[in-house]
Amino acid sequence: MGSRRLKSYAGLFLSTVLLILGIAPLIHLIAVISINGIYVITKNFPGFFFEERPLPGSEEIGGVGPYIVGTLILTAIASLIGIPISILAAIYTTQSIRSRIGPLTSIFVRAMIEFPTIIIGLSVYGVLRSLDLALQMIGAQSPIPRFSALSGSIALAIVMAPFIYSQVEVSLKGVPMHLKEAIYSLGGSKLASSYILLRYVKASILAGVAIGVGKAMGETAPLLFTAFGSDHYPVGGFEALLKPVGALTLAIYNMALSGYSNWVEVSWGAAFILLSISIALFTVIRIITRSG
Amino acid sequence: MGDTVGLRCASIEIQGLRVWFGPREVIKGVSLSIPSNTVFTIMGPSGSGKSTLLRAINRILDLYPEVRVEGRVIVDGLDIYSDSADPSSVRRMIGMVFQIPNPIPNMSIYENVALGPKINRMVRSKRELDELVRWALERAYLWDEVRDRLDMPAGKLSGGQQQRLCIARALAMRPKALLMDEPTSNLDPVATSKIESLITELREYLTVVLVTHNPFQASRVSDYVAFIYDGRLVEVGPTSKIFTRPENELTEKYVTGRMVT
Repeated sequence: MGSRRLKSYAGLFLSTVLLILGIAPLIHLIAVISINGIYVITKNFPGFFFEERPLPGSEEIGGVGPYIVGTLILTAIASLIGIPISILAAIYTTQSIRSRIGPLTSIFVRAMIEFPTIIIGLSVYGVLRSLDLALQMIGAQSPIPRFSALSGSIALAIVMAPFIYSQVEVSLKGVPMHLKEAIYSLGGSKLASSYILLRYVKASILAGVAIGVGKAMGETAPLLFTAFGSDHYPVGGFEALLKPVGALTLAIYNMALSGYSNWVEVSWGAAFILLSISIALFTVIRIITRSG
Repeated sequence: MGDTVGLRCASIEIQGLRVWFGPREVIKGVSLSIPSNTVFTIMGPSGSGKSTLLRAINRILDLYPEVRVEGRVIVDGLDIYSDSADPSSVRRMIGMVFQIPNPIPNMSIYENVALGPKINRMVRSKRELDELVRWALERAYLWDEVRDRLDMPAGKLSGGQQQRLCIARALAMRPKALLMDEPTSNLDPVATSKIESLITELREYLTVVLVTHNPFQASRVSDYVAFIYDGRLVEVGPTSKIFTRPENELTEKYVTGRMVT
């Protein structure tokens, strides 16, 4: 009895130590970014949220307004492309139970989750460059410039799609057979039946969408060769989408490495804003999955 | 809405049906003729293949990737396994009620019944849909119990009520035939008796194919009985004959409760 209790305490001690080791870096990360970020933002509040980048090496703090807008534009367009494609693909693979393309799609998309995202950016760049060259030969111009908000959005859509696809596929496959039979016995088309199934698993799908959007929002690498970055507000309606655009992640990457102390400070503020958005998304996911 | 408006019966002809689940043959060449306007019971011990046989009649077996079907099932002259037959329209024509009452839990009572007509665009207005929902619930003897709480989640009904809701959901499609897979096996005797009386009334405007492992239920509600054993049809005939003068020894053992399975 004594030895069993001893083993139990030892196990408890070990798991507590491992827990602390596991979450300590996360807490450290959140604490450091929050302290530095809030400090910088309060120096120029509320201007930090809408002003442009300060002059390098000056005393100014300026703001990250263009980067916030850029991130929102990139994520919104990527979502418009990525969410419908991934949900439809998941419906197709779960519906076409006798097709060989379905399982292949599933394997390929799961492999895509593991792709280095910089490769995705580079591929989009490569495809758009080739398209540009091909069109130049016939005297035309590519509709999507390789350094533009649109190309960045395409790259982010490719990054987010596998995450949403996997979640939707798992949710649809997890619907109990007796419910699937109930829905299909009503004689609706495959699409109509899928719509009812999607309604049934909507909490899980919304969680998948939130994970995908969060992932896309936090990406830097796929934007390096596509959105490229800009320090000014995008102006001019649709035209603005054909020009390079800034993003919070790109701004953090560029400014943190710049060596100018005020730019480094701005990158802390930007990191805090990005972290807050991620935590907000994570909280929304938790609320949705619990209420579902 | 009249009692029989839109409800036409179907005769069902099963010819040389064989069904495999992966390498395992579950239905081993069954031929049956199911007349219209009857309650036709498929009876047999657990694992004899009766539920699989039933699921072959409306192509719900298509949902199982490992299943392979051979043979013909002809409903009102249409071979439902022919290339020209669309599985969705087959299921519209042949409704189904399952062993576990399976209303869609996150939908209300009203939405469950309205679902089929809505997704198949059977109605043109909300008023028409309301009437159809009421009509189906009345036919399933559920209207009086739920008329004041149609917006309540279907999952909150009792087991027996849920099963009658599933019958209403199937009836709202105005099918020609209704397949019932052991619809009372999870219900108490009172709920069972309500559903059994409902089944006998349904035959006025539907062809009912009922699956049960309970010979007493088969004798109470059906016009014809087919006895299935190990994926094969052992005997088929009018209920009175199967229960009083069975030709096959296995059938006799089963209906008298002497079969050891």
